Amino acid sequence: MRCFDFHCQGESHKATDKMCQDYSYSHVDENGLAIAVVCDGHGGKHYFRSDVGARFATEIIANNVREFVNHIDETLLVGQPFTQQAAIQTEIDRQDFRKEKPVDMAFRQLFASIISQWQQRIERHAAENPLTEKENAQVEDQYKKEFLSGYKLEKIYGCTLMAYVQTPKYWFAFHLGDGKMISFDHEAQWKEPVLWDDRCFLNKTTSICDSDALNEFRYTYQGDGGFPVAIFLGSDGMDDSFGEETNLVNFYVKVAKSLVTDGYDATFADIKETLPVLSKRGSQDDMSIACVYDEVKLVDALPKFILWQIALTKASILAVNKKIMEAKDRRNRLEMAGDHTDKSKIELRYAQNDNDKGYAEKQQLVRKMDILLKEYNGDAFVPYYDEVGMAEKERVLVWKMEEHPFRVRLVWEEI
Amino acid sequence: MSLLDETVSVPRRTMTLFFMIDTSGSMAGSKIGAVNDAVVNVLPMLDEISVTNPDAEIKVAALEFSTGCNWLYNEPKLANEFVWQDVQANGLTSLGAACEELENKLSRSKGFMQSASGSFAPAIILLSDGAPTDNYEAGLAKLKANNWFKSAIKVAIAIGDDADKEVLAKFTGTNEAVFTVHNIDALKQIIRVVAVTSSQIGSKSSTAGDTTKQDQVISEVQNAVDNIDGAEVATKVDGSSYSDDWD
Repeated sequence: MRCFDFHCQGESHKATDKMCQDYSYSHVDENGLAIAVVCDGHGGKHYFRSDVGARFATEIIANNVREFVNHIDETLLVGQPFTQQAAIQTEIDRQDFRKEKPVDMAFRQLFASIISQWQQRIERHAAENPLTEKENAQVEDQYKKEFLSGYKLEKIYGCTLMAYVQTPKYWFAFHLGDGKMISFDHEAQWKEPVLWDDRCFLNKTTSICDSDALNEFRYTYQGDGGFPVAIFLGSDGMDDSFGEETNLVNFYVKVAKSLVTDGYDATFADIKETLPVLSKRGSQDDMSIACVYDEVKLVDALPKFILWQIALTKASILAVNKKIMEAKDRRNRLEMAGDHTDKSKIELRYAQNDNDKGYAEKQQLVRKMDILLKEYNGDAFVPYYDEVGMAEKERVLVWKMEEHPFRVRLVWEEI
Repeated sequence: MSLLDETVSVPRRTMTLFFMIDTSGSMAGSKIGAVNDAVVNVLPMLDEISVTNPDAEIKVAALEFSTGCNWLYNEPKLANEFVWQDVQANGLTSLGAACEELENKLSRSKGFMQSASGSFAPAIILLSDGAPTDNYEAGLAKLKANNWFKSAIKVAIAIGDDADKEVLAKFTGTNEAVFTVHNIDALKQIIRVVAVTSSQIGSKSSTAGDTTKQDQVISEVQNAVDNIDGAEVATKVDGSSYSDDWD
């Protein structure tokens, strides 16, 4: 097993001179215990020490899961099938309760211990670290008052957390808040191993600073011999940069392939270079990633990772083909109708725009497909081809607009 | 070697601005004309915000409602691609139907929204000059249960004294987000101010805090309203210093 982790300041935080509020950790020891943790401090004005809270949470989780692994009765986990548990709060909302087993009670003790130690640590930190000059200047009075009185101290240090732990006999993972955890099996099939919590939506998230944080942990375990080949933990800055989840998964596939083909050092160097760029191009948020992977099984899975990307790209090409055909059909129908109303002209313009956009997207996807086909088949690869928008020469419609550029009075001519 | 090559997609984040426009018969004449003019004129401004904003691009969707409701286009369009088709006033005020239709589209599977990752909460601007003529409460109740709607920036523009401001306040969740206008110029200006402010604030990266984007928009629009002759915060309506002038 190997691991890496990295966190960096987001672009928007650079602009506002705000600390990086993410923290990450990963470690694999000589006994085969692998740990990966990502914590994401909240970004609002109220949470002005969330960078410290995230670091404390990370350290406390790492220590507590070690203790847990050292002291838990292994029989609670060994032999257990893949099991996902939703947050108890979700069960309360749905009025659908599971019967708690000893393994669930063990996890509940672990989570309670993490929360309790984190509370103690932030209280100590607040007592030992009065408001700094910068905090005094920047923090709003109401939050300074809360800090000084110790009221809602946990809000000031609040963060989300996620962790993955693997031993030679079992693995488990837990998550509180947003961000995404993605695992891959030996067939390069991916999933989110820990159930999602619907209360995490847009910029709302559950948190260790919530009064019912203990009921908001969701977790997964498996002890029947099935292990992920690779697992990635990323803060919400990562998944917000990619939009659709398959884009995020595709990035992790790219990282996994790089670990095999370019090696650990080169890949980790690329991660350190890429994440700040990704923040700038994507979410603007702090970025953190932690990964545990099986370097032997990852080599075997490499062709399957490429095949997964090829299948994903093919699906995108088919979707674009459909859009192109629909746009063409729409355009042809409008032209045949010979209707010269403003509405008809606008629709014709949109049909042409959709067609043009489809072609541009198609070209991009075909380039991507050819890169992947070459990766899979080597130099002898056959470039991708289909009959939609690749060979035929498209007509070019030149639109001229009269008066206001956003008004409907348009004339068009074909060249 | 970069991990961000041609095989990796990093799309721009998106914020969708919804216009919900009352096109009932009472809007006929100068009111609907002003709405058409104002939206046409604000689109290039939204495009500029979209182009210059590194955080997100802005898409626009428009729903007109009278006796029933109708989307101007069947998908949100980038501000620079949105060609405004002048809406006409005629019929009743089916706000309930419009709420249900908006609720349908505020979803990923069957509607206009994309993955929550990579999206900002939408901004919704409701314009109306009257009172609903259908069972708006049922439609609004459905809409209020929608997660996108809960997170959205919601502002309403009451066009004239006959607008039912209580209903508009129920829609926005607060009467502080309802602004009343009493003449054509004020209507045009408030549409521009609300659309631009909502887009500027709504499409910016922000992190969880005590001041919501809606509160930020309300605060900025309230400041702007002080300088618009014929516009006021609806909460001040009992002490209104304006009378309607739509000629």
